[in-house]
Amino acid sequence: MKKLGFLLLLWVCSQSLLGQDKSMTEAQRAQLMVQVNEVAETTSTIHTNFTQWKHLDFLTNDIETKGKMIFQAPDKVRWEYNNPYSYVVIFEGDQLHIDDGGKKSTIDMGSSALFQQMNELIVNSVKGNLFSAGDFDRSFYVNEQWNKVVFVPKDEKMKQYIAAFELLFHKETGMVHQVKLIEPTNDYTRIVFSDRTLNRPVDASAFHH
Amino acid sequence: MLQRFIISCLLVGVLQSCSLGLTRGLVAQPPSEVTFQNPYFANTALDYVYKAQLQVYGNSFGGIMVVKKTGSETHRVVFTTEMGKTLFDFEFQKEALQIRYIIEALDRKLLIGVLENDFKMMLSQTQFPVEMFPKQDVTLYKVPDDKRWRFYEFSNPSDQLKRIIQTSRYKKKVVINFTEISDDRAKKIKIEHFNLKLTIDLYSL
Repeated sequence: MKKLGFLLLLWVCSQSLLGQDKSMTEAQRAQLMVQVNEVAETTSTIHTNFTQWKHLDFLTNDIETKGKMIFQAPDKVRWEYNNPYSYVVIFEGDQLHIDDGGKKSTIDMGSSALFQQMNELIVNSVKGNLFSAGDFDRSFYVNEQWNKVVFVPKDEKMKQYIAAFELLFHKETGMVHQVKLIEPTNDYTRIVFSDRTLNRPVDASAFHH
Repeated sequence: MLQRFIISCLLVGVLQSCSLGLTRGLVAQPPSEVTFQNPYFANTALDYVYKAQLQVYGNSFGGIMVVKKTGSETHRVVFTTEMGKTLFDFEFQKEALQIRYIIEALDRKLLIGVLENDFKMMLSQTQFPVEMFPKQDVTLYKVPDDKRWRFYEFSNPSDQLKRIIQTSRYKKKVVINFTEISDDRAKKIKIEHFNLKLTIDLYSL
């Protein structure tokens, strides 16, 4: 009877572990890196919708915002929030152009190493190509649905800004499904992409500011 | 005789210019209530989320401001970028500030002091007035605030809190305007400073 109870407990534990992340093997890691680099190399543009949830532990509901993102190789990214407010930010080289409900401004990121790192992080995470970045310690996980890579900054200043950065990749396509930015306070921002099209020509007005 | 008249006129002029314009010509009365409540940010079941616009010495900054009443006398105030990055996370226990997080670029004593003062004004709930000034369309309640005063302006007869005005003995320092009010929620809030070129506009999301 005792033995049966133990086996039952073992079965329950194994079932709950099935849905959890497991560390990748070396072979799985190598396969993921090849797959993601291939996607990055063959992607010249991305058009996608996104939903963003800002989680703060004391809130009853996460703050939900929606918008569109356009990426154009090598380094142009347009984030456009259209619900519940209008806000556009364009990353272009060292420049950050903002249109906050009609109020326009430009920030020169060249003067800030932190901004440059953030920009690289955003551009590379959209492309999925963060594997060459030496600024982060990387951990690789896999579960039934996704491949997951967790990036922890090595730089102490960056650590005060971001505790970790997680990317979820589609197992079949190697494309980024979700970006999660974890704060030093353990609050986080989660962005999920949907309705993505690749290599469609970008409207000339997308990066006008 | 003429000399005495001129001196008297000058004295009246000086005394008037030294008095607080807000209550000039009004008659102070003992308050009708021992205490009253600031009704905004008072419901622990609600998340108060605002789009924020800051104008600082001609520069414009945006973000999201989140306020939550987390206990009987506790509030959290978090300011994030539109992309979700938390810039600061303040907790007010009664009126005492605890900084739970702030990015290095904003960790400046002067800035924190200004924000602390504004948020205390906006969030402080139970008030103990020392005087009231009835007018035709509004009533002002005068409340001590350290070395300053706060005047809470309630509209008549709806009894809605429209403004909180912080003053020194003679001058307005900060005004918080609440507009588009329903169910004890102000859809628009404007915080104006009169000794700094700083304005904060909040629009409920």
